[in-house]
Amino acid sequence: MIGEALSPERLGKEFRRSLVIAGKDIRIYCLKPPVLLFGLIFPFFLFLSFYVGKKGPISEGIPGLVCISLFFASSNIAPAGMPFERMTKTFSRYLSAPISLTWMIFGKTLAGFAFGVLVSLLPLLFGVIGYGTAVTSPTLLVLALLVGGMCFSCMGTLVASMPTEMPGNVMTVLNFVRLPLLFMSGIFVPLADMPGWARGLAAISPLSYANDLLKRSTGNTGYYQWWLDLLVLLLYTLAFFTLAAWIFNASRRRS
Amino acid sequence: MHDDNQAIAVEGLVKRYGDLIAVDGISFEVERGELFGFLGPNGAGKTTTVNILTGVSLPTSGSASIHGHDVVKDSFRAKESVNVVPEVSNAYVEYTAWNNLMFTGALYGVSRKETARRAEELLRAFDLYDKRKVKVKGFSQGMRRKLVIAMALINKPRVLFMDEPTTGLDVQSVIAIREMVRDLNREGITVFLTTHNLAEANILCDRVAIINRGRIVATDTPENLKRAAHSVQVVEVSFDRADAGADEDFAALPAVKEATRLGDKLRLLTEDPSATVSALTRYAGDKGLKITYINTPGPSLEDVFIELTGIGKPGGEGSGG
Repeated sequence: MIGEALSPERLGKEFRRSLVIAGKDIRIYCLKPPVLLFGLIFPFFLFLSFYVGKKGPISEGIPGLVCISLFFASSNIAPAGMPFERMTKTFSRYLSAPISLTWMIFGKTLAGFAFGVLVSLLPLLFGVIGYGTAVTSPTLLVLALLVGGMCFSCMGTLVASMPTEMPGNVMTVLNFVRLPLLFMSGIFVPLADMPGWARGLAAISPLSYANDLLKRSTGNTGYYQWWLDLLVLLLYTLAFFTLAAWIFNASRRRS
Repeated sequence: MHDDNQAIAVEGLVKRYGDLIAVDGISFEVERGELFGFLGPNGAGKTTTVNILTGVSLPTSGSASIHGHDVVKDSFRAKESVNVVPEVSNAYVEYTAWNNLMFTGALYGVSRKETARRAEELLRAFDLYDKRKVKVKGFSQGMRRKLVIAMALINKPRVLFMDEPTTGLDVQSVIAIREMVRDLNREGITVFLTTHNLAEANILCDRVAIINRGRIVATDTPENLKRAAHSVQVVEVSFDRADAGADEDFAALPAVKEATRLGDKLRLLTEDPSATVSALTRYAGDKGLKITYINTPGPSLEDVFIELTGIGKPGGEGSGG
């Protein structure tokens, strides 16, 4: 049966159904207040509060704004939706449908990924059109958005695997993780200007690597090698997704 | 070995939550095209069993299969021919009725064109077509229930699980849903109906299994179960005066085990209906009463249920849980 689960026909069916779940989540949850608040409004005002009064040109901060938007928006959909779905018992619809738990989680993750990438394009366009931000490496930019978006969305899915029906509980945990990462990842203070202990902390944050890639893609100097940025983001993506799938499975066993 | 006539086969199914055993080694089969009732009080293990059979939960041990596909090892195949009407009407309230059906169809791999055709057919059948563009948050309980049943039929399931489908509905909706269940079964769909409503099981089901405290205590047709309950017979009587005698007087009559008042009627559980009828006639003569109605209808499924589970008997367990 493992062989059948990996057959092209079966994989095709599961992939299409995960897209169905992703599409539904985007339509339902994008306009939910917690998603709008933490995915759009909060990153924007946070960025403004740090850049107003700064002497450097605003275009230098655009990669950081793109990174914050990608980070907050991608990681927001699953935590906003899943507890609500547990509360309204719509979550059990996925479990009783012909789609495996792993592909169901993948669909949920895709929704966050797509939302995050779309939202991050807004500040990017704002920078390119309004402040002359130059995209010097479109390939790195696309990779940063795709890999970073997937990584942060998987992080959101991992937090959403908490078996609770209260969206507030999940959001609290999510922000408890996100806010420290935000301040230790070289977005507001460049990694090169940080003391050694802070750079050590930054090295464990996936946000540092996404921000580094985005900086490189807009003509700024990077701190890590671009391939290391990608590798670390991919490893985090895999780790977050695997752990989330394991927790969801364990919850189903206990439910 | 899978029997082609079997829609559902359950063998030694166990579900534990720590020290609590919710389902305790149950085994049963449901034939194709059968309308099978799964009866039990609240907390008996009905919903847990449905959750395992539909893939929502995993068993601790034992096995279950649907049309020969194991619900754990081959759950994808098992779930392709199944759909479920859960206890809670769990349609997406932010979606319209139409979008809920389209989403469910896509999730079950039904083509967009076929889903649209079937959605229209189902919405018309359930009298919801005019509300197809209305978000479900504006629906009444009965409308939501009908929509959830329609969602469960979008993939033309061969086995339909219905968990307490009429709970909390008004009489009109209950009648309509029971009629729908009969029609679906007539169309050849195997229906696994979970209910604590004995009257509902009695009028709908080909066979029933009674589960109590995680164990199946009986499986048979409703009529066979009633016949098997030899120790429980019923005499119903009504007098010309509603206040005729106290319940204790009737409970003290020969062979009567229990007397219950049902409106203007008395329902006497007896071990010997003949002796009880004679005693009632004497009682009426002694008290100057006229018997206006007397009947020996036999035990109801409820009487059998009480006999088998002990629930509701003096000294027996409560009915909640």
